[in-house]
Amino acid sequence: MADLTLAQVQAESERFGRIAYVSTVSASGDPHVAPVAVAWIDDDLCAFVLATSSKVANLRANPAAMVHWSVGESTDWDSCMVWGSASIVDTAEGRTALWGRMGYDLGAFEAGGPESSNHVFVRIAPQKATVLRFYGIKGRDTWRA
Amino acid sequence: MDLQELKDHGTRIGMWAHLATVGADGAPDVVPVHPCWEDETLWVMIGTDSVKARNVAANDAVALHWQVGDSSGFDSLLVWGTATVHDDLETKQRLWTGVFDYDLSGFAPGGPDASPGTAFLAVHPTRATLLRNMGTGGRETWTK
Repeated sequence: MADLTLAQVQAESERFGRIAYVSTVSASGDPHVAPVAVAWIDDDLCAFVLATSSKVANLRANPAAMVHWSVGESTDWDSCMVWGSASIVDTAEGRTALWGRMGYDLGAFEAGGPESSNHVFVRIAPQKATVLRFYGIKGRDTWRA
Repeated sequence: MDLQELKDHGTRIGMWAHLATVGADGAPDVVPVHPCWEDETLWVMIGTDSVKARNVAANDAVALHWQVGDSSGFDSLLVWGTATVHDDLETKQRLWTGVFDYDLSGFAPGGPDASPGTAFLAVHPTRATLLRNMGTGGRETWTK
């Protein structure tokens, strides 16, 4: 097992693509998982999502989030996982600050631009990350805040 | 959709699903798994000391989301239910052949009789939703 820096985690995550699965917990304690397009903005892992989505409701009740990127043969069945605490960026000012930093055209999903309250950003401050090599059989690397 | 259609959509979308569980501390966990159906039960091979095994012991609620991709039109298949962990020899011997579509011995060479660290998670689905093309193409639901 090796220690990683957050910069190394961020670099590692790039090879898994943009889609990751974010798990959250509802106020009643039920799990939820959904695919989201993620991007690192500064030291935080961010996603642009519907304001009315279950994940947003869950994170407002319980900010704990875990993210697991898609797995596949192209990445030799490695896993990249991030645990953290999420905040919801739901002000026009906050959305405007993040709007151009996701790496894809958010306007394709929200024609109203950053002024629209239909979408928000989920901003996860990472606390821990792990990269498993080939299901963990070939080792694991970790980072902790 | 009916249960068979639910199973068929899972097969069409792919072999990987992301399984979410909740720890005793209320923290979420999500890991990719390769589930297979046996009648109304969705089985997953797991480690007895895995986070998901510990979480289900504390909170039996689970959610699965099949891995999305271009090859399946970015359809989403979501399943919710409860889960139980089974590490008894009889269950392991029964499931080892004929239920899974891959060779379990590739991950537990000792087979059902000599793989003490291996168990099976039985997911008992209670409801499911299929979102076509991220929901823009409509949705179908199943409830037990």
